[in-house]
Amino acid sequence: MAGIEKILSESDRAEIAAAIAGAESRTTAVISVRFEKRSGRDPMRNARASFTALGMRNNPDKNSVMFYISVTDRKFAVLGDDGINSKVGMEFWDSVRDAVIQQLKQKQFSLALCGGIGIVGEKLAEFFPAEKTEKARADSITFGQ
Amino acid sequence: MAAGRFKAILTGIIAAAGFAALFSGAVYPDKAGDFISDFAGVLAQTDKLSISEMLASVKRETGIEMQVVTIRALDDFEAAQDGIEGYAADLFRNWKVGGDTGNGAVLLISVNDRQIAVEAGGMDEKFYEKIMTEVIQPGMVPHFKEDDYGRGIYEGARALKKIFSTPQHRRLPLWMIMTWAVLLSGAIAAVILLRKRSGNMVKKVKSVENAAQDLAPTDTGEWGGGSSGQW
Repeated sequence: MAGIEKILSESDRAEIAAAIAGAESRTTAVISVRFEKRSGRDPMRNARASFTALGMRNNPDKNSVMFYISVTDRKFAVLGDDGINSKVGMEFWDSVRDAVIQQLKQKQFSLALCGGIGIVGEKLAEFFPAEKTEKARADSITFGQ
Repeated sequence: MAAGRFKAILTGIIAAAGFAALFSGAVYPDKAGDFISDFAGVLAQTDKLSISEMLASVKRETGIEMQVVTIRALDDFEAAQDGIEGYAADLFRNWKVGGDTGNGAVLLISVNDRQIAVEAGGMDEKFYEKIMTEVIQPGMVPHFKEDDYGRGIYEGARALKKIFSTPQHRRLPLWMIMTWAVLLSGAIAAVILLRKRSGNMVKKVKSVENAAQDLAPTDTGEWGGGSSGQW
């Protein structure tokens, strides 16, 4: 999708990719960031569709987490698979959402996402610490319609 | 020493630019009328009347609030960075078009930028493309090219009325949704009971179950969890 890639500068991308790589090195989980232009009424619905389409549900521990941002209608969702969701409560997801949204309002995409990835990464490392086995890797930053 | 000063100046410039970027925000004017805010001053009084009348009828018949906005340039509202779509979306939110449920739309025309955008509550990309190809391109652009903004907006608003009035974009009243929900769950319960009693019913059961699955959105899912919101 042409256009929305511009929302991230090269340095933003590098910072976010580094934050994801850093968090993933400590856990078996996969973390990804998804940008779309519009999400319609429910960003969570689009996040779920992308989560599944990108194969993030294939992780055996069911612990992958996606950060979803729709750019034009300014919506955000954080979504975790069953494994991580059974370990953390709704309050945790809400706190991640609030922290990320606070930065997004200032259009600080890199700060917002790196902060969110850091919080989620801590929990993932606690409940699903890294093993030596290789894991399936989704593209860490993707763009769609 | 000179290099150090140069570096300091450069750092200053970068900091100032970053500071400006952080605090540059678009300006949102108040609405100029019930349905039309002609900030660019391109609409004749008669155009305004006929367009207003139609938008009032849209609201009466479908409950959808449509706002027509014309501006000279995005720059006038410090919105060049947001782009026309972004600024239309911002006006939509800022003016709370369509009330709390967002049952409304903004049609924004930037005259000097020669750009048009529509923002509607809960619109996905597919619906946006449909509006662009079915309404904006054929209905509005030809008139705009002849500087006939009144006619272009009238035609555009009329076409939007048609699209928004089709059943899938009209909000169903709650009682109707509840009635259908009760009828559907009753039907499924009945079918499941029948299946238990009779083997021959299995085929019919399958078709009803499939129909129920078709009605349900395919990707809402019951797995995982998370949180979402507006930023």
